[in-house]
Amino acid sequence: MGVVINDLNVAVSGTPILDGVHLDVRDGQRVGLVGPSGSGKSMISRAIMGLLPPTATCTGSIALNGRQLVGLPDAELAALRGAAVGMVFQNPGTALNPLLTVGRQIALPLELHYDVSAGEREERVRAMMHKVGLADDLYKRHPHELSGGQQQRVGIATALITSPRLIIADEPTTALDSMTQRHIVDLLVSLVDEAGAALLFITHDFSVLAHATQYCYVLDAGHIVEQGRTSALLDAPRTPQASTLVSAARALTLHADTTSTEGTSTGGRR
Amino acid sequence: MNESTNARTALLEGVDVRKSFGTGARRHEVLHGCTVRVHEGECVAVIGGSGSGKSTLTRILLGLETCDGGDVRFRGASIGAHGGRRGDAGRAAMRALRRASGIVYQNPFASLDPRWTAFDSVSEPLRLRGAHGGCGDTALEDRVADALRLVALEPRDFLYRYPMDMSGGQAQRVAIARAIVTEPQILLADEAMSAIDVAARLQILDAFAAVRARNPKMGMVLVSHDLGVVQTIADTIVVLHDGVIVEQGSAADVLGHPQASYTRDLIAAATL
Amino acid sequence: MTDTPNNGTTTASATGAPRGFMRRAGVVIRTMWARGTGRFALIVLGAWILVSLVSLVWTPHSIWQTNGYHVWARPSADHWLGTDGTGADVFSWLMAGSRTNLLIVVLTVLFAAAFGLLLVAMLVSRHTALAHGSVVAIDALISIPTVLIALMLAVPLGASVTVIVLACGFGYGLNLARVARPSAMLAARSMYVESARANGASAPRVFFTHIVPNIMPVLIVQCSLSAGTAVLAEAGLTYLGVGVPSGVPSWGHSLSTSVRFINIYPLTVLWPGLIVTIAVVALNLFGDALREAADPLTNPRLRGADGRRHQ
Repeated sequence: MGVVINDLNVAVSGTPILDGVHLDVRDGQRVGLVGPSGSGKSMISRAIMGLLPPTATCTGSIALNGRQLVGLPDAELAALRGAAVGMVFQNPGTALNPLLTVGRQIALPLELHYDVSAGEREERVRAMMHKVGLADDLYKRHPHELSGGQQQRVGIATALITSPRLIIADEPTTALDSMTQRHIVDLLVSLVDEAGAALLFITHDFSVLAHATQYCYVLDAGHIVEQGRTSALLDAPRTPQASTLVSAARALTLHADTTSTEGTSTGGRR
Repeated sequence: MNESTNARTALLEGVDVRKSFGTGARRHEVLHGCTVRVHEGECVAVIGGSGSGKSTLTRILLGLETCDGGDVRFRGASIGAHGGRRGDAGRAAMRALRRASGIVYQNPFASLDPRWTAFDSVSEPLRLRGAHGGCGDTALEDRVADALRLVALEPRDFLYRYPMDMSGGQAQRVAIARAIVTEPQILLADEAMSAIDVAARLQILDAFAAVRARNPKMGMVLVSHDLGVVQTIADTIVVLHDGVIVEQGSAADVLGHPQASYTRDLIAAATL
Repeated sequence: MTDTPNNGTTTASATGAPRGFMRRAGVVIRTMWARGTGRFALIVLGAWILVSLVSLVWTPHSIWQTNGYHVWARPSADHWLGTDGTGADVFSWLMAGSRTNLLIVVLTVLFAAAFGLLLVAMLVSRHTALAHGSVVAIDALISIPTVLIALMLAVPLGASVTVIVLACGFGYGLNLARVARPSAMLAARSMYVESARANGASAPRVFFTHIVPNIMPVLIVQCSLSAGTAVLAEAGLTYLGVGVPSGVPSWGHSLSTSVRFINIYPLTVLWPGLIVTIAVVALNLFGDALREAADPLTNPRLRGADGRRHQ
């Protein structure tokens, strides 16, 4: 199960964006998709969600839990979005509806896809809020009253409330400061593992992947140029594209030697 | 604190800076008396999470915002940063500071006019200062080309290119060229790397290094939440948490032997 | 920095956007010409200007030459579009009218643009009282119909071109300011404006170098809509008797003298009606084509980036 992408080609207004992409994320796997901006990372997540721009043409195969998505009518794709696939967006400030309270926001996918009583819905929302570390009194607050980190927790709760089997996180930490980044990544990882779901984590930053994923793909100009275990890729990238990203991540990560005394508190996942 | 540097007169200093937002019952203080000094040739990094007040503090230092208490001095002269009662001396110091500073913002695509070429943007500070008064358009173009070369952008390709035809890293380097083309004494980089691809951040750091090598007496203030970026460039680190400076000192000291628990948390979050 | 050796070849060999006003204008016109609608607009407007100029020195018949025995004539070799109720040549009147309408359109657009820009400058002013006050004032004034303004102006001024230009320019200026406000505010609050101000740019300088170029697309479209509406307004106001005075040739004049006999001699109404329609369509298409061709963000040739993506 999970999502299996085979020979996916996407072109927008005739310009090829993705070229023969193979990628699979199995249940219980956390997979990273890394590449510089403009490499087409977000187009993969949009293709899975069925949210490609109207001028896009798409060929190849995307099988979600064994079901072919390419060519599926929009109504059937809409039924999958939010139910079978949950999405965590880059900028929680704009991804949340400013007029909805936190409680209503998180309940939205439940309302759309499941026939649950109002009481049960609230119960499940409050339980989910507890899981993502949002205090109970935030239930009736609006997004603008929350910090960036809290907003992204709401985003995660919304993505996970229907217990989807696949979660796509598209640069979920880029808009956050480094400490909040770490908390959000840790939270996402623990929730996905607990649910046994599959995670596709999209980012341009290798150092985030080290915490979040076991396996990863490197995308460059619409091609998958390298794939492998995240730790192996970080230690010995084979292609120039991957090594650029790895060396940037390494140069811009706090060196272990400067912080020798604190090395233990990180509990590295590598 | 580094005693040897404190003995010299600071290039730019904020003393006991206080700032509040809102009025009446909703008034809250975001900076509770912060003292920061920047010396010639020094790169001071102000770090902290979002909402720590680091952007507000540095904007006050550069005279872009007023403060409610304390003082900002540029080469020893107070710019009279608080309230509207800025005297003649304060105004003169303020003007001197404005002319002597350059700013690099977070998002280059928001800080460069989308309908201006790199040449238009980079030459703007020179044209505003009337610096090309006697030397004509060719000399202006030469200075812009020189600034672009310094940040490793080939003028032949970039001089007449628009931001939308550049990558984030290239556009940010154009923004750096605009900030340094007047050879400022103070350079502020306000989260200049957080909106940029990780792979391109190294190019930005190289550009800053080249600028500092060219102009070794230039003081630099770097606002960042990213310790990885900070360690490669900063001489001094100021750690800000909820409007209070919890720790400051040389980069090696702060990163190697952090005293405050908040600093330790920051370091833990940033280590791979 | 200044003493760095420079081989002086930067200007000559630099790639990228075309430079110099004439070269950029050439690119803009070629881009417009390459599109069917743009080409249509350019041809119609070019012909309009040409006919206006020619009419100053030559028309097939003098517009004052009347013939009581030859009224409401059908088109013939002598009178290409026939004659009107006084026996004057319809074609000559329409030719002569084109210069009046051109003058009205140009003056109205200039007045509307100048007035509109003044209002936009007030809207983005850093004096909050002025900015807020002008929002309220514009919203209040915009509710007054242009026809009413024209009627009120006609009291002291009489029927004249000035009435049309002032009334339309006033109305369209208000409209322009209201439509341009969001993009002007966006530019005014941007970081590039803050950067310019930090470098000592004055408010007027920021307005003309940063804000005006960034609202140019809105400005062009609004001005072309105004131009089209000015042609229609001329016809309407002249029919009401507050527009072009009788005796001055204009398309509105030709329409209003013949519209009473539309049931008997429909052809004489058709010609001016057709011309007004073509002119209005051409003006609107011109604005649309110019907006796309003159904006570096939408016209890659103006950026010297033919289909080139970054890196």
